[in-house]
Amino acid sequence: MSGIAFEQPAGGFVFDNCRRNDILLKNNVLPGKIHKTGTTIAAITYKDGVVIAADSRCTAGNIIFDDNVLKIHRLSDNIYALGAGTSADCDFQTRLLESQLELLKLNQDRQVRVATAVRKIQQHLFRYRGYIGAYLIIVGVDVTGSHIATVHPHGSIAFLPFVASGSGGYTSLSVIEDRYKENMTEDEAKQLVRDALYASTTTDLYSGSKINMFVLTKEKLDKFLPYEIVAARTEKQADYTLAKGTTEVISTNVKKIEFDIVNEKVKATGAHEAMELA
Amino acid sequence: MDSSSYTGLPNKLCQGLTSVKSTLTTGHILEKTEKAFIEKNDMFHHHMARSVLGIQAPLKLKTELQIANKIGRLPCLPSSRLMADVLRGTNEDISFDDILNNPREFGELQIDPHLAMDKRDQLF
Repeated sequence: MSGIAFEQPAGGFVFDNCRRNDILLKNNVLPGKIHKTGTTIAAITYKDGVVIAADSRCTAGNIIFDDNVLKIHRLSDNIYALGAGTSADCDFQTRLLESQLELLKLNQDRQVRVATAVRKIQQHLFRYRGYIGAYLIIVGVDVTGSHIATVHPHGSIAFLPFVASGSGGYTSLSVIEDRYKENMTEDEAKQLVRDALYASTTTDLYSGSKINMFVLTKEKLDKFLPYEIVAARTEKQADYTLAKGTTEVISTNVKKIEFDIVNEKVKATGAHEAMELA
Repeated sequence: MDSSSYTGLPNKLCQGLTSVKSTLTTGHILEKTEKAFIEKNDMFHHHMARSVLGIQAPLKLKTELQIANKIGRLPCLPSSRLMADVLRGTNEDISFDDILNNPREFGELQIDPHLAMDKRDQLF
């Protein structure tokens, strides 16, 4: 830290290294690579509550980094969040919001509302001017009914009857737009969301593996982990092991390595002691 | 840049030698907003209370905050600032200020008691 401290420092962010980073970039020191992870997340309201679903793939470049990521985060008993964008930001912001909502619930002695959660995260994200890359979908059922809200990193929100987000978001949204109607039954809603996720997990490279689904109503929370496995690895078609002698030996060269005995040590091993293998 | 002295120039003893270049380039866009955030938040509550509850409410809050900043020990000694936290409502909240760079956890700065007292008494 530069300068002299005159009073107790407060917590929070410290931007001391930013100037150093600028200088390093000017001297062509490469910055760390950011891995983008694609996602598909979707949520719709139906007659009794909401149905939310997410895929479970995490990619780093062209490789599937993790096949089994849960992108549905709990904020409260009646409020859940789906996260797209920078996955660390989504995870951490939802954890922070979860603890804040718990404190609020204990203080006001009432069930937390979806609008409260959305407002809190919106103010928080606006404070950091979009540098926290969390595209969240906040869903929940409270005393005022069931709500779905989408939150963008700069702090803009929208309350909608259905929403889909992520790299496969457009594909999912097109399926939902086609078949959505008000006050669907639970089975219809689940089928619609499953079809929407199926469309994007099969077309978008960065979404896939499994479809995880939650059904949230005033009385219950149903978890389907997974609801459907979209890309199951099939059995190998043939035996790909190579037979001995496939690679031809052209020449053999045997060399003796000269060595000297430097140190000799004799140790008695007891009869009961097991020999330790390094 | 602290230009609280009557000349308006930065104090070499406190801020170190300055250069024009370092003032032109900002470290990060959020650096300024983060520094001013607590004050801005207080002003926001001030204005809100003024329009909703009348002039007496913000004046009362402001005096309470000033008292909270004045009480306590010498500036070089650690203080939990509990009263200020309670007045601002941050004692019931968890945010980045509690998690990142918590001075109780990784206090790397050493405060010179003489300079701290000088600053408090505004001797320079």
